[in-house]
Amino acid sequence: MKLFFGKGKKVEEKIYEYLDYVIQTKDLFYKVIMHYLEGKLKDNFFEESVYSVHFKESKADDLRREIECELYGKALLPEFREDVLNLLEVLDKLPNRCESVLFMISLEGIEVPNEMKEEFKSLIKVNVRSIVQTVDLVKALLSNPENVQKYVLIIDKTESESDKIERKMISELFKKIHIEKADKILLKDLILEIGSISDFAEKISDNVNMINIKTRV
Amino acid sequence: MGELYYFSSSLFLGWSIGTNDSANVFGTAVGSRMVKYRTAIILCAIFVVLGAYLEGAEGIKTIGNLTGQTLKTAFISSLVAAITVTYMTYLGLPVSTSQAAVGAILGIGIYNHSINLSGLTKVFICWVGTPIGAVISSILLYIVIAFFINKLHLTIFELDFLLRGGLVVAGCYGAYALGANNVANVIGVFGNIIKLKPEILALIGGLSIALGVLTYSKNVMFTVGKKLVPLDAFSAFIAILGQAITVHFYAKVGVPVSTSQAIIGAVLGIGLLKGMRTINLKTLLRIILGWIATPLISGIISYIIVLIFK
Repeated sequence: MKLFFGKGKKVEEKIYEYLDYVIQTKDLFYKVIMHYLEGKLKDNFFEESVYSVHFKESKADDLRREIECELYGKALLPEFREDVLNLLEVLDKLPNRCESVLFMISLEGIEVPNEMKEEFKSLIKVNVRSIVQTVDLVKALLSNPENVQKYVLIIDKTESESDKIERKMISELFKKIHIEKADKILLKDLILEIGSISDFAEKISDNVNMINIKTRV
Repeated sequence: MGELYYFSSSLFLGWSIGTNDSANVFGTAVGSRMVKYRTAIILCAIFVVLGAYLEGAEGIKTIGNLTGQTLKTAFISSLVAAITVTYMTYLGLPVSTSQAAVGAILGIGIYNHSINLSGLTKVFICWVGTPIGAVISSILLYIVIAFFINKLHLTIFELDFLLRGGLVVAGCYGAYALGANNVANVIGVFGNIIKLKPEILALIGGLSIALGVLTYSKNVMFTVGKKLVPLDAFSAFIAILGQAITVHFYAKVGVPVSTSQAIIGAVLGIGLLKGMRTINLKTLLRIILGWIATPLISGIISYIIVLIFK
């Protein structure tokens, strides 16, 4: 049974709603990027789906602003208000990165060489996993703070795994793949952009950890 | 009707307590905008009156027995206490209404050669005991309450809810303790003169404090609130609760004490526990100076006035 009600309760419900949007954006992102890695860059599904991800991302943005308004309306004590605002700010980077990866592919017309497709899939899977772990982490903060530390460690591990894959991919890209240098740079940027999802997941986990420590008096 | 006229200086003193001391109990919650000013003053006024009516009689007896008084000298001592408080507040000097009231009563007692020394000793011991008691109570409260809160593994929203509620409850309790303790400053001097039940006298005194809270406490409340806001919410809650328990304890003992000195003691206690410097040496020196200077000034003024108008 929850111990509270009022404005705080309303904000908490909206944060759960926001987390649902993050998961929906992640699901759509995964579906679209896997479709792309099957070599179907130019078809209608890809282009339409990119805009669907964009639509989900802006819905999440709207909800975040609503939560911020509630918070500025004194829904929390000032010392907690600041922390939750910072958390929302950095949490928003997750759907935002999903959108920007797809826009990069769509606008720059990046094509992944066949030799790298499996590694791209691995990188995507690891980073998508970090989104799910982050959502679980935030849910733990809101419902079961004792589990926060467990998720912080898991996310840290996922981020290291992503870093390792990124370094290996970039090294192979410049050593073994025979394409134009400009295309290599575009691919390198794409790898780093995908990898930034788990980087942000780690930043969020730091924030959540700090909030959790602050709830110990 | 004549009695009412003599009462007016006491009611003025009560009003000034309400305008100043309500900040010590609700300042943090209002200054950080956790509780609306309007809600805070209504709650504060209600609990001040309740505290005064239910537990104010003991302090009225102590103050009433401190010296022999007539209706006129009682009027003078209340008026001098109120003037001292107002003037020292105007000068920006630390002032305790309890110390000003007792000083003014003593000035008249010295003139009349009628001082109850054992009562006076009790009062002085309680003054020194106020910040010390608040230091001890805030340290103990912090340790015990923090232990239970940490055991509960609360989420950020649950802790927020608990602390907000705690600040309001501690504020109400602080207002109750303020009424119970400080009403003796307002009306105690009339305790042995006016033929009314102590509870009725306490009720009148409590209402005058409540009037001060309701009409003119806004500025002080926001200023004090901002001074205390750098404390985290939990520490602020403990400071107010520690202060309230200390002031309530002295209401039970029957000695009016300074709520400002109690809150300073409570904040100091939290600082000692957390290894933080919450109060500087200057503030401590100001408290000690307040123990001496305030009763001395009001005592001298009341002595001179009685001498002139004898």
